[in-house]
Amino acid sequence: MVRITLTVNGEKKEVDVSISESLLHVLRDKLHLRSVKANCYRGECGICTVIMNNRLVKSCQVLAVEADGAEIITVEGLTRDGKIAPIQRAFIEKFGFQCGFCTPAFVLAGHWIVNNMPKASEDEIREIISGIVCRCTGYKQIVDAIKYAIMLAHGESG
Amino acid sequence: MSSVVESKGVVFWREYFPKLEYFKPKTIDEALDLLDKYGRDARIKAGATCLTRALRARKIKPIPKYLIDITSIKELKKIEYIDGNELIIGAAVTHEEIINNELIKKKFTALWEASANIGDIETRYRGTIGGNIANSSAQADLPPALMVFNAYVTLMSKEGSRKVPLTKFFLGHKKNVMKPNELLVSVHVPEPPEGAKSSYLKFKRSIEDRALVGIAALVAYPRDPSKRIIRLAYTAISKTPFLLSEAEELFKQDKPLSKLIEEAIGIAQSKYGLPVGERGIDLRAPKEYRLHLIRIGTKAILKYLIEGIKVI
Amino acid sequence: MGSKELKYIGKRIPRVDVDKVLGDAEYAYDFELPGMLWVKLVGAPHPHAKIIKIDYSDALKVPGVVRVFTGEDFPFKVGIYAADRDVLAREKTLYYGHPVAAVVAESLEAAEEAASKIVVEYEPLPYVLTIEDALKDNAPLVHENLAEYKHAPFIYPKPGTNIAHHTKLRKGNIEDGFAKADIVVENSYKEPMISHYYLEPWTGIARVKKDGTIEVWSSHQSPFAVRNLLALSLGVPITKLVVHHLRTGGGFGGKAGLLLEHIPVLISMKLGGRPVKLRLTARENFFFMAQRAGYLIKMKTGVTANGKLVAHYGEYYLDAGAYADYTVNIARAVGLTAFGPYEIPNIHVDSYAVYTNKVPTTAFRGFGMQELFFAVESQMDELAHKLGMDPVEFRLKNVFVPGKSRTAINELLRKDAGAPAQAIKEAAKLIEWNTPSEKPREPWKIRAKGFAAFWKGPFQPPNATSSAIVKLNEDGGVDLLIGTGEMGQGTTTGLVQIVAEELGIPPEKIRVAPIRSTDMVPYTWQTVGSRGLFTDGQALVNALNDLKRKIRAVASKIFNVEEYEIEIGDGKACVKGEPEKCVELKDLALGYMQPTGITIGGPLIGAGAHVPERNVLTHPETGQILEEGHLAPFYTFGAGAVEIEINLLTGDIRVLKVVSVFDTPALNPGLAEGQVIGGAVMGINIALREKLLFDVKGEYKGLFPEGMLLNPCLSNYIVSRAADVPKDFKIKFLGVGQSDAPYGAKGIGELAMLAWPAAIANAVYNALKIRITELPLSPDKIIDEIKKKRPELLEEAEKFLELNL
Ligand SMILES: Cc1cc2nc3c(=O)[nH]c(=O)nc-3n(C[C@H](O)[C@H](O)[C@H](O)COP(=O)(O)OP(=O)(O)OC[C@H]3O[C@@H](n4cnc5c(N)ncnc54)[C@H](O)[C@@H]3O)c2cc1C
Ligand code: FES
Ligand code: FES
Repeated sequence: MVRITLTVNGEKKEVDVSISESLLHVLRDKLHLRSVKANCYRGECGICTVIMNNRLVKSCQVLAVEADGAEIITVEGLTRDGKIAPIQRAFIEKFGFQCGFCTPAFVLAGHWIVNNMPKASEDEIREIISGIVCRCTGYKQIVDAIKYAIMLAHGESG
Repeated sequence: MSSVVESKGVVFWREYFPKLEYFKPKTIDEALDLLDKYGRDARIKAGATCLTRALRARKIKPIPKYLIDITSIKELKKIEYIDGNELIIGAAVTHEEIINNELIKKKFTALWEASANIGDIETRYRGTIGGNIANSSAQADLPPALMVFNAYVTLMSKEGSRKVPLTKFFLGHKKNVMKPNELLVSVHVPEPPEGAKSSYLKFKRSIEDRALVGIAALVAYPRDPSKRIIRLAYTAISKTPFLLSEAEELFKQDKPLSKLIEEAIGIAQSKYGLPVGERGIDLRAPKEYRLHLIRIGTKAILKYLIEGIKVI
Repeated sequence: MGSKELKYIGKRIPRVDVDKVLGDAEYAYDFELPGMLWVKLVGAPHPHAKIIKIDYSDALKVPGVVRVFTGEDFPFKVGIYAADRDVLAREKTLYYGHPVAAVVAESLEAAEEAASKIVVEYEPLPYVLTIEDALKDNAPLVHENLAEYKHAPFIYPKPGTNIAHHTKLRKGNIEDGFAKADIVVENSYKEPMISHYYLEPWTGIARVKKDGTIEVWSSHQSPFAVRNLLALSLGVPITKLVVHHLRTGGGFGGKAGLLLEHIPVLISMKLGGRPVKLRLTARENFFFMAQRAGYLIKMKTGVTANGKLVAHYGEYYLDAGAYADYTVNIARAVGLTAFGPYEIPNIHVDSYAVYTNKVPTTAFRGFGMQELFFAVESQMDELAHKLGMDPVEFRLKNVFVPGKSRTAINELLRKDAGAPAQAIKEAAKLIEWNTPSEKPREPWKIRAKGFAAFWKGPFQPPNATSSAIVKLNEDGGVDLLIGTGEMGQGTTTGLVQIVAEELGIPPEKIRVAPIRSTDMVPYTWQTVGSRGLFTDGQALVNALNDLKRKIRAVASKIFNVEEYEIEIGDGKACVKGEPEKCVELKDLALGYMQPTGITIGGPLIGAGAHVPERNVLTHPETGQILEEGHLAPFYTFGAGAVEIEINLLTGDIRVLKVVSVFDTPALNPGLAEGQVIGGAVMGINIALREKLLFDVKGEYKGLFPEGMLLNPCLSNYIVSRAADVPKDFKIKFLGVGQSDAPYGAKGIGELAMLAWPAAIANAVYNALKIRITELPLSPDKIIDEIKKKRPELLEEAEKFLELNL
């Protein structure tokens, strides 16, 4: 066991981790952040995506020990004082989810785009989220939601 | 009737890695010390995009006991351009860092295009050039793009360092010349010949896919047989990515260019020999189709580099 | 209902399951109990082999391991339509990956480690991987004891063969029919086995309480189906079984019926009731969960010179894999559907589910109809071309006319069954059928349009009933209790809209519990076949009527009027025409206290049920209905059209435009469009990319284990990404409802998927004049076909690659 420090959704946490664990296990099993989902454990589906040091990463591919000192954001961290983030509102209003299993990953990807690439074109949005698989929606309403969230956050000019 | 066979039960996938010891050296020397000490029991970790999968599958034999994370070694994270001489890329430089480099985009376009074609944004953010090469997949995108520049790598161990041209580096699918105590330190891309342009063409079935066939090409003075340089390299059609070494000589001949292209295609197709098997990759497209892609892809990339017209 | 302006129905009301966006939706995947044990399954490396010995002594030495189970621990079969499945392989393995042992440990990590230490001795047996091989006279039998298996009354296995089920359909006289035909088209159509690839890998948790109550939390579509099948399979009383439906991360048919729930249940029973969890990873899901059958559809169809269909002969084969449980009923569905939404007087169809030594199969969104319509709608185009008739016009000439037409099983379609012709016309209009595609800017590409029609109803037993309960709360809100599975299709939101509309209260005041437990919510048969909204919706409407009756009874007493004089809306009950005489529903909810204290009414609960109206069975020898009635409670009709672009150099097909038309109204356009777009993208991907690979020709002997599924991961089994899919969708709901449907709305969840392989294959024909009858329409296949049949096209295209020197 190794003790690592993570800043998760703004809070500092110390966790004892084993080298056989990935960040995904730490977030889900040790920090009980169950919004983080998993499917393949092979880096292929993108469902386990979280924001780490302001970048999108597949948490199943990050060794727990390696994440020491990292700053992590999961969907649990998007709602502050009962107020939901623009990206969440957009997913709700634009029907950006169905079964919801992929949704946390897309919400985070959308959140990242809203904050980092507010001028992204539709094609750029589609390219960025292409690391994540959704089998339900056909992606259109997800893309619509991300575009709408950019507008909510930055106004029409965004 | 058939006889009795004993088999291990199949565990199709595991969530957990083997229990290893983890090191995060800050310098190349520290890393080399560790490699020297643990030899075959140690494994380098770069972006871990491939390694995590191999560890979960318990594919690396013997199962490693020590993991050496090289992503904190500053010397491995540098991109250096020695004007008119060569480009040196540290092994731990990520695909994304390559894509963000304007000089590489302009001067070493094939490498830039190959990097931009890898996986998805998350894989490009974490995955490294060293990992892509050391992993030695028969379908890796970067090796052909590097080979058309006659790139070589520097391998280092406690005993010293050696330079290996990429064309001599791969021995087979997931096999290369590296010794257990060696670290891939840097990739060296010589200055392209004057007037050269390069490109990488990847055929895939989805935006996020490995190459069905990948073709890199470098072209200089195509219309002048005496000065003409045309290099072609391929991935996902043979045991390893390869430079079509015959091509450079071939294209020096004073024959109509389209004839020479046909000949080059024939040679490339004759190299077909993808590995098949549990660790192999051949099943994503039949041989005939890959041969077809070699043909139209070679023509398309050369047409683009020679005439500036994109057909595909 | 009806004349009034609707406030919630037909509107883009946001989904009620917003917990999915907020990050606290709970799936079986996430569910845990204190003291829970983990299970890891071990697969067999042979497609067909005798199990001689299983040695797990080393596994038991791994710290944390509790026990290892093998097939002999569970000596019985389980299943729904055909009880053909072992809990773990017994005596022999039936496919590569067949679970032979289950390791139970205190942690998943320990279970994984121990599982890798199990050693098994096998004696390999001859095996069959294709329908053709399985049907040969001396074929190795996948199930030698087929005669002993239990099965549903309408399932007909053939012991001594690999035939798991045979459906016959005989209508009119097939010889006479072909005698009248001027043109006959005969083809074989093939679709490979494919995977649902839902995102939540299957997961189940079970525990047995001290009083014998068995509790199950699992990733499924239908909690009552799981309860029923567990009870039947394990011989435990229904009343001792509680199945909890949590959020389900996609199903697409793959989570209908009984899945692997019996494994954690049985293990918990053997381990003193301790909670036990089995959670798969995606790769395991390919081997341990049922996939979709492969199809071989042979058909011969005759038409008169003036374009009337007169005869259809079909042999349909479903490659069911090692367990055909659900697939037997799909073979029945495709057999009885015969030739889709077209009237033909003479039909002869045999439909079979065939066992092979491959991964088991089950339902897939569309229940065989996408596969059947790939054949039917390709056949329709080819017939039209041979007749020299426009394919759309040809369809219009033969498509069912509600109230007049009789289907293949001789069912007279009800007058309000839908609007098949109108859907076809509308789709043709939206794709601008009569305007040829523009020439692409890149001359080595070619564009064309393609068309396909479809229809479908739920293939359910005639007694597939549903029920609903609504409870009025003291704040005027409502709790809706319902057994509907929610896999993302959005039924729950539709049901909430119905409550909102009927009582005039906002959706925010209506709650549907995310966890639906069989001991808490009323029964509904299953959530499959696009039936949820229709059947559960009708039960709900009845429950609301019941509640309203009770509200009226109390309100009429308060105002001293007759019950019929009470009007309910806007959360109030008022005397008609006297707006000052109103009482708020919240004041009635728990009982209304009159000024003197005397309380009337009491807590108000409405209950309602739905029984399919006159649904009947079919004759075993002819497939004809046993008496006048219906096979399904409703049918949805529609049509789809695409415009595609083919790259003649690479063989890549890109779908540029998608048109999807349905006859039904949509209760919520936002939800409906999500279903339609998601279904289209899935259908298009199936058309272009999906195939489970097996070494059926023995090309890779020695390189891979024999009989292995060769592409069990997303790197090799391609599921499209956001940048791969069409962006241009034209979707239309014609609003033609069925009178007994809730607000007229019929199901669309599966229908959204049915048109695409056929429409794309037809577009490929229109572009290349090449008829491709096998999926997927992958680039290598397109190039191969062009080389064989239209080499000049490739030659032309290759000219653009030549240097202009
Ligand atoms: C979703 C996904 C998509 C992908 N798509 C592509 C693609 O399109 N094209 C493509 O080419 N590849 C692709 N890959 C493969 C691979 O991830 C990348 O090639 C990547 O570059 C590997 O680099 P890494 O830093 O992650 O390597 P790691 O995973 O860290 O290491 C890979 C192997 O190389 C060894 N190694 C790494 N660095 C060194 C070093 N400096 N010295 C010695 N040994 C070393 C490791 O021990 C290990 O065996 C994909 C992978 C994933 C998961
Ligand atoms: S679970 Fe991490 S990418 Fe699939
Ligand atoms: S909403 Fe189900 S996978 Fe995306």
